[in-house]
Amino acid sequence: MSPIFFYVSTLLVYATINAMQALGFNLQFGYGGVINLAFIVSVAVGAYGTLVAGIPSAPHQLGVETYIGGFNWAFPWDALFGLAMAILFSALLAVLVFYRLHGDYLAVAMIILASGLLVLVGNDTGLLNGQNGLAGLNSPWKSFLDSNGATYQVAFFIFCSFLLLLTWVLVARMTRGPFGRTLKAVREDVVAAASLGANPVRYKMWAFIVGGAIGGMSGVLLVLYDGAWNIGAWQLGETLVLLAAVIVGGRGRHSGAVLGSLLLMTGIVQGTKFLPNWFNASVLASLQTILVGVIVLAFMWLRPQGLLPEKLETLRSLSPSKRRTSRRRASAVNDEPTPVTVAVPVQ
Amino acid sequence: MQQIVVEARSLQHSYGGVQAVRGMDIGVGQGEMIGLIGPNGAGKSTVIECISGCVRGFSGQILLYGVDISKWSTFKIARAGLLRTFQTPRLFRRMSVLSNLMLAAEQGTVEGMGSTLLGKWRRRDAERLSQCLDVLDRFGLRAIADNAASDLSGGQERLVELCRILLSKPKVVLLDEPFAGVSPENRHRLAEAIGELRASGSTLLMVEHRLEWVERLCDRVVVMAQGREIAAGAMDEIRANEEVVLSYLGTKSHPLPSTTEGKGA
Repeated sequence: MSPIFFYVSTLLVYATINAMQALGFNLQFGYGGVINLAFIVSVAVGAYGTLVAGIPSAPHQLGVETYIGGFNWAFPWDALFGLAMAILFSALLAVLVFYRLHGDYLAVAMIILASGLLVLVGNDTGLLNGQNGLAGLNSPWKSFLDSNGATYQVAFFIFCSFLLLLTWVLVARMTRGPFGRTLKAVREDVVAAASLGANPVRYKMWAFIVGGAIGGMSGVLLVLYDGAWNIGAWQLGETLVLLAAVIVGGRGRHSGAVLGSLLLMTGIVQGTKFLPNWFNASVLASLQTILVGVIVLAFMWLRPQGLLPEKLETLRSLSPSKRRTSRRRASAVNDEPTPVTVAVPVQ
Repeated sequence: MQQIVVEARSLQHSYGGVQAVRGMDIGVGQGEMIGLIGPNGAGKSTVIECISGCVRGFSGQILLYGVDISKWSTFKIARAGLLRTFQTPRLFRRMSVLSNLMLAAEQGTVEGMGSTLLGKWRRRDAERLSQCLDVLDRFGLRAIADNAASDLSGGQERLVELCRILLSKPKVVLLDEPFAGVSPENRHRLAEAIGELRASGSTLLMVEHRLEWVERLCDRVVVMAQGREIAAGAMDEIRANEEVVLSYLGTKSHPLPSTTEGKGA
């Protein structure tokens, strides 16, 4: 396998996974109106869950690791375990949080939670091997597909794309019709929505839990691909990049989230690697951060609705037409989802 | 004896150090429309906030059809059929007028996840759309149906808010100064919408300063000042009541003209 093939295929894998994360985050933020700054934690839960299920019990590789679990399950059971943990985590968090915290208080609580967990896991607590994290996860389909080969790269990319498709269909379906309309109303004005009979907690919880599950799944995929996971992968800043991506791409619109992830996550992080060798590695990382920050500020100032703004629900969009009355199957992925969307007038 | 549909008993509420309502008893009978008037700061809007469950921490009881709803959350009270408008209209500003109405029609806010994922909502949504179109046409709003709610004038906002209430087919409606800031030509449409609510059997309580509309629309009037009721009855009785005149309608030497003489609509 040539280095270029490896680079491009790896890039594509990460691009699909980032797009999935953006869809999940946007469901919470753009549709649910919840600024979950601990989103990356749900990604980490999926990753750690998969590792804990998939690697043998401690100590594993070097003889000094300490961690819980270690069931040594094969794919897909380790992945399913990781996903289940992520869903459980999101549900637990939602139940603890939504009945009491709103808006800014919620955002702050999430930051504290993420920071606290980083400290808990990153230190010598015997939970998930501290700073060094866990490694040595077997690649999927190991028995018949060598993970160093080109076929594996292609297969994994197709696998990720398929899951991205499923994710997109799921979030598109969830946010259409009356449910999606009410979800947006709750986001716009909680009091007014409640005064019309909508239970705000119910809607936010759906967006939060499903978004968190999607985040968890992206963590599962990342760890299946990389085979390892540690503290460095789920710092607070990761969620900020996601936030930037959906703001730039267009929050409250699935295609906006995906576009934002392509431009900001894949585009900038990858694009800056091709800059001439003026900078050394550490400067490059800071440069990426600065660039992302500047772009987000520019968008917040000049075009807060993002590149792909939400659309208004109009008489025309709701009127029955041949396309709409035909049965829609789960293959309608690249379609713009049924236009139950909302406009942000140019400000 | 007419059934009392919604009532507040011994209602008391303070905002911080300010006692807004000091022991208020008010009840509205089935199909009645009551006007709640009084000077600014009398606590009228607070009464609405308490009854609709939008504020917590008041003492006293709120009863809806005899059921104690004092501890109920806002949405639960709304689902039980008690809806309200707000002093400044609370439309969903970045959604279209049509969306705002669709939310209200046919239980538009309680569609389940199962039906959403499977597409079963479509038929109900078509029904909602036809109801919304009907209302839009009746009140001459078809032209602005596709506009974002933030693009509307004050009068249009209030009208849309009322249409939203109409579509919800409520049992009880609390109106908080619906005629404030509404241009003359829209006031009649508002009155029409209110009339439709009454015709469909809803029970109404209206807080309002524009007394000509209170007189025209309401069966009975209750006057509040400084957090409690100071008079109740028909408009003429109220106008003759000295305490009301002093605190609200004007002084003896500078009485307000009777609203039934002189100026037309």
